[in-house]
Amino acid sequence: MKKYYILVDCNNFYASCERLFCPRLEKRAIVVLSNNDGCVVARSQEAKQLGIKMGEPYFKIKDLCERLKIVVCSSNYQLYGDLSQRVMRILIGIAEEIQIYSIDEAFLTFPDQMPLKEIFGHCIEVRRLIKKWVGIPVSIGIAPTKTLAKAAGAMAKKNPQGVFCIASRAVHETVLKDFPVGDVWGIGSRFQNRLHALGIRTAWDFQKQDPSAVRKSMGVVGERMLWELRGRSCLPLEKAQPKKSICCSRSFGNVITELDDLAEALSTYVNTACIKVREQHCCAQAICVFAEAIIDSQTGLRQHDSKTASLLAPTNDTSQIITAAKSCLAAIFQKEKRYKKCGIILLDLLPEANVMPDLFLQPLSSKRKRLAEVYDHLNARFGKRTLFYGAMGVNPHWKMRSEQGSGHYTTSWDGLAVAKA
Amino acid sequence: MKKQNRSAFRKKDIDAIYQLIQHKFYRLPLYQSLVTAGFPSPAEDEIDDTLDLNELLIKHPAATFFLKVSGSSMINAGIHDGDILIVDRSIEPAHGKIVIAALNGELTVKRLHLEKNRVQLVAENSAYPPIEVREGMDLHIWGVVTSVIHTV
Repeated sequence: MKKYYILVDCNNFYASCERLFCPRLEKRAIVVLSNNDGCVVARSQEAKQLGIKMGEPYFKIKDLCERLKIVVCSSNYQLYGDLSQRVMRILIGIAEEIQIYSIDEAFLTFPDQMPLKEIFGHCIEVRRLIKKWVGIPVSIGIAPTKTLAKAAGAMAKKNPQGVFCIASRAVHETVLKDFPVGDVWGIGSRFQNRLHALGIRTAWDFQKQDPSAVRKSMGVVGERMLWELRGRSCLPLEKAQPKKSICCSRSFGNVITELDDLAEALSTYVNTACIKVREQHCCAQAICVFAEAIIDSQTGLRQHDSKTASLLAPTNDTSQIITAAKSCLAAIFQKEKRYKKCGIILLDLLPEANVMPDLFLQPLSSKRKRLAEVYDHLNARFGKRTLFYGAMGVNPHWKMRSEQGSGHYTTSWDGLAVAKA
Repeated sequence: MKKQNRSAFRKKDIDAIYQLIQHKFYRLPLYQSLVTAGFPSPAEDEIDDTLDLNELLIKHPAATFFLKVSGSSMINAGIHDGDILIVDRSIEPAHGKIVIAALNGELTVKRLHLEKNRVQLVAENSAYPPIEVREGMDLHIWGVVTSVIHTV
């Protein structure tokens, strides 16, 4: 029995999340903006049809949005993250194996012996269930390889049933002959231009090529795509792996010129990164601090400075890393520069269990570990900044702009949606 | 005014933290017994469960949401202004259930009445007339209310 890969993809995910608690947004054009309301990161189907492009800077389309009454939302990642988790939880419950590919996509497999007809029936049911339970519309693609499942997913979006299967030879050929090669999973604009130059326009043209020739020109990645398009699976489901490094950085709402303000922002990002590294029970052995200053606001030219430093001993203690990060920052900070962004990368992560105590250094006392546990627990339970380090600033004015954000409907007792009675 | 608000909020947070700490230290086991020397209690082995409200109130975590009530149209069903509703979207709406309906772009809580060819959203307060659902009306049932959290 053939194995099938199933791609579940949430339709216009961020826009669908915004709609769930605001029924008045149903059928309206919605755009969601990036952090600091910079540019468009998501669009509802209606907004796509109005010609709003992905990545467009908000200031360029502001007038258009007002004129066409397009709903503009700041991104609300707490909400998107929570709803994503609910969708994934349902999928984990029904799949044999699953690879969560992004916030709104997952690949899964069903048991090997399951006939295609049954798989298809399951998918229809899963789609109905996710829409009813979580309120998010999804499309589902079924195919013998992940690359083909991605293509099937794209077809499913246009199909009222919301599920599409590439299994028979006839369907395989019809779909690929009509599928632009640039839309194939993994073929970026770089490969696309090269393939177009060779007269290869569709996925069907591409898979007809000689595998060894493709290997020469596009490497093993290209050859894998070709085999995958032919229906031979080369990309198995990947297990989630703990991250090797953790980065946290943000752009500021306003330009920063003072070292103290910059240090507050950096400490806040260190705090976030340390919470993440403790979550996966690791310690960092080194850090990299970076900052970006605006050189020319007309062209958007920026200067990027960074400094890497190794830590005396592997640690995940926030206050130790804040101290180390601040001294890196002091080394790269320049007066009269207009800073727009900074961040931290925790490097060479090591599982806590593998940390060798240093003969000459004081090990992290169990008291400090307990402190970190309580700190993480309280902040997880009562919201960020319930407890925070003084270095993070009491009243940060460099905070991100988020002017039209929806409520934290699912993650804060103060943000619940209202039911009129 | 703003400042006052903030300090009020902080006070609330601090209280909540105290509650948590208490909760942590005084988590009530299902059975509790004092150990007396020489006679171990037969219930000793049973202390492994604590009561978890989530378990009681939430049957389908992926489908359960909380909403806040605004208004008094459901007062006779024990749903007051400011209460928190537990809403389970996995439950099929049926006649007599209290539901969240998306009506004219708003979420509203009412009792669902399904009779032959007739759908009504009924308030539990005589001051509010029932809403007759007609064809072409912008309405869908968003979820079914399973419990209400009311602070006394």
